[in-house]
Amino acid sequence: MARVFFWTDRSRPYITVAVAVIISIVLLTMGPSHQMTVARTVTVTVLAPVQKGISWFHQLGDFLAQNRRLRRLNTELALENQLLREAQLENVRLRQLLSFREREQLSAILLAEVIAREPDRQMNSILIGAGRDRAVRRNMPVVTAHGLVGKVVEVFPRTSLVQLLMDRNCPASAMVQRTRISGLLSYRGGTTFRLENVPWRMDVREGDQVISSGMGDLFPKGLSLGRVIEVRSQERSLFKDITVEPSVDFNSLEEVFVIIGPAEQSQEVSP
Amino acid sequence: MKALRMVLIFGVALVLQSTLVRLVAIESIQPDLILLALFFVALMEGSYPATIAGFCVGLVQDLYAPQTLGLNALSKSLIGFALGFCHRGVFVEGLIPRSLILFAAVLLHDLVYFIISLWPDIGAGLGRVAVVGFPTALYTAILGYVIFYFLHRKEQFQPLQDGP
Repeated sequence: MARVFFWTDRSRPYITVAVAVIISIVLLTMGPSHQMTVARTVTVTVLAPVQKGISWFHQLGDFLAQNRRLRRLNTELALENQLLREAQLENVRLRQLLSFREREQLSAILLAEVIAREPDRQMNSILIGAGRDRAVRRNMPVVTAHGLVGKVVEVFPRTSLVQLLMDRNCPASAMVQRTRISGLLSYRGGTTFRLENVPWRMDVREGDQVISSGMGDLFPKGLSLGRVIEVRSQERSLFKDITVEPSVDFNSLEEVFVIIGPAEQSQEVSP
Repeated sequence: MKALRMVLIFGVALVLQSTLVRLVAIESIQPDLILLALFFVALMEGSYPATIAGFCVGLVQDLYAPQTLGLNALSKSLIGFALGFCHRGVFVEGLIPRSLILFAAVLLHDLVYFIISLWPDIGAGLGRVAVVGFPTALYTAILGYVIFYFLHRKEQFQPLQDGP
């Protein structure tokens, strides 16, 4: 009996490998069965979470690198987006200027870029990138698609200094578009203008459009100046107190038109 | 306890083989961690456990590959059986002999595996052994050498056991 056990113990590896080989060959020769499908499903289901966990742990490093890469890409794309948006806005502005030119039938206008502003809080003048080289002359009106900006006061070889309407020394002859009542538009500080010399009996209402009257031969007639936002009639005063909101946003000027046609002056100023 | 330890060893090897080993692949050649684990089990436990372990882990591998059910079980149980003879063998004491035996074991495993899987085209099977089996065996043997080396050092620096 002991010999049998001894023999079995020594033979156990051989018997085991024989059984294993036989089972393996049977498995190799038999086709797919339902039991095997179940076993396969169980095995994969059991191991999958562990594999997924390890893969996730490994991917964590990838995620960090990918995160850095995507953040850099995001920054680049954001910058590119800003540039494109800026180009789009510029496109819109230029289109507005072109349509303004067609609308106003201005045959001789010159597009100029605003290259500097007066380094003062009052911001009463701007420097534009067109000068004597492009036939700019003193007192030429400067406009945008939204309306009158000011006039050229100094001309340099390649640049010009433009005095804005937002300067107390740059009044403009104006009139109310609806009733054709004339007055003088002058800067009153802040962001508003005053329409002066309008008799108290005259019909001026809030919301009325104010345009250039063309008197004085400096600014062409019909350019938009602003909109009446307040009308007051003071006692013992012959004139109305009319506040006008300018149609041009003087804080955001980037391109302007110099009207070199009708208002061209022969006088030239040396730099 | 032994069975649990073996399950743990092969479980780790199986999971690593299917997840992280691709990271250390050289030209799509990967070391075979399952055969490496089988080699350790065979050295520690002998033929009988190694045969059963090879069969079981091979079967689990086969369950991932529906077309070759039984192929891994066959080749790994044979290799487990063969490696079992190295159990407590004097000729596997050195690092290089161990690595050489591991190299031969992986090569033999791939020989069985590819010849049976590509049967009756024996030429194609041998070709796969040359192209895939040989570099895999080499890679696994080198990895095994490194592991043997560190295990050897660890044994050397272990605190002394109680004296006789």
